[in-house]
Amino acid sequence: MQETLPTPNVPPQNASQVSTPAGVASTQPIVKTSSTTMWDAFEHILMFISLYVMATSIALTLYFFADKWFPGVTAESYYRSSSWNDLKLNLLRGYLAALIVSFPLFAYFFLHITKRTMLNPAMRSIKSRKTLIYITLIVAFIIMLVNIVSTVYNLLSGNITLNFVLHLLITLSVTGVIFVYYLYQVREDRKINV
Amino acid sequence: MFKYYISIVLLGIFVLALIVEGIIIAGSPISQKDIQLDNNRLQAFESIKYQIENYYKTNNKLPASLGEMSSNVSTQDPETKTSFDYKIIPPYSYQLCTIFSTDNSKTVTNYNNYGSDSALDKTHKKGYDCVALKLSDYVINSVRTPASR
Repeated sequence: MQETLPTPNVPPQNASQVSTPAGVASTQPIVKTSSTTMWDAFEHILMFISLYVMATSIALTLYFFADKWFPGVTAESYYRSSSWNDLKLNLLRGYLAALIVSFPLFAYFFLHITKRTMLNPAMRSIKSRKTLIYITLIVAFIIMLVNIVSTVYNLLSGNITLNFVLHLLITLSVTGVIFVYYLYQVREDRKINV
Repeated sequence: MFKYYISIVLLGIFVLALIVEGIIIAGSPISQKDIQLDNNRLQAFESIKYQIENYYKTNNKLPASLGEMSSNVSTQDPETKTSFDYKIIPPYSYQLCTIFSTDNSKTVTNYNNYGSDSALDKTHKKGYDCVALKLSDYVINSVRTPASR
């Protein structure tokens, strides 16, 4: 796939991967090992930001549905006032807005980066990519850990309700998908030592 | 690469389903506009109510028409820009009528049983409907005349 660099001041370093602007190619040294640019790092950062926003809003929307269809004890008895409902509906609109905006961004960056990574394995060794993947793995791990600990705590105190189990399942599946996918990516990255 | 496209499409379908279900629950943008319009109407009724109470305090009678009061309160429907209908129900009550866009009888929480007589908590049907309001006791009592005692 031919890529045109969006910023002219970033020098393309691998002529086989990047279509160079006219007049620049002859002056640039061709370095085989490093064919990634600051732009790739930038795209990774944008992709991870949209991933966080999207994953959070998916989880929060699913929580809302779980609370609506399988209300827990407190949700049923204490908070049945009109203003509370209004607040929750407004929050739901916020989550939907975040989803509507973040999903297309994430889909674009994800597909774009995956495509470039397949054509140019050197992408896998970008420092910011590694940092972001590891941060994501750590945060996902912490979220899952905290949720499982709180489930065990509630189990011990006998407070397990269907609503609670649903919340746990939602958190675990959203975080788990991200965790497993990026764990797989890390293993793929480690195969390529460039 | 194909499997990545498939997973993004599947994720997209899932996200779309969430958005559609969310919009069904939270109300479509069009119905939200109608609800907002009706809210504005009730807000206008609430301001008119205060104006009428002020008028009663100074003149010791209900105004014969909405135009009789000071003009710094809007007596026009926010959508149709026609004037609200106003009827006096002697001795201390009156009705404000307009064409509402929604029926709020199922959604509004009625606090009026607890002594509040706010126009914002009144129910109305879709289409032409009237909201009955009453002068508060303190307004009536503040004008101590034999007629009102």
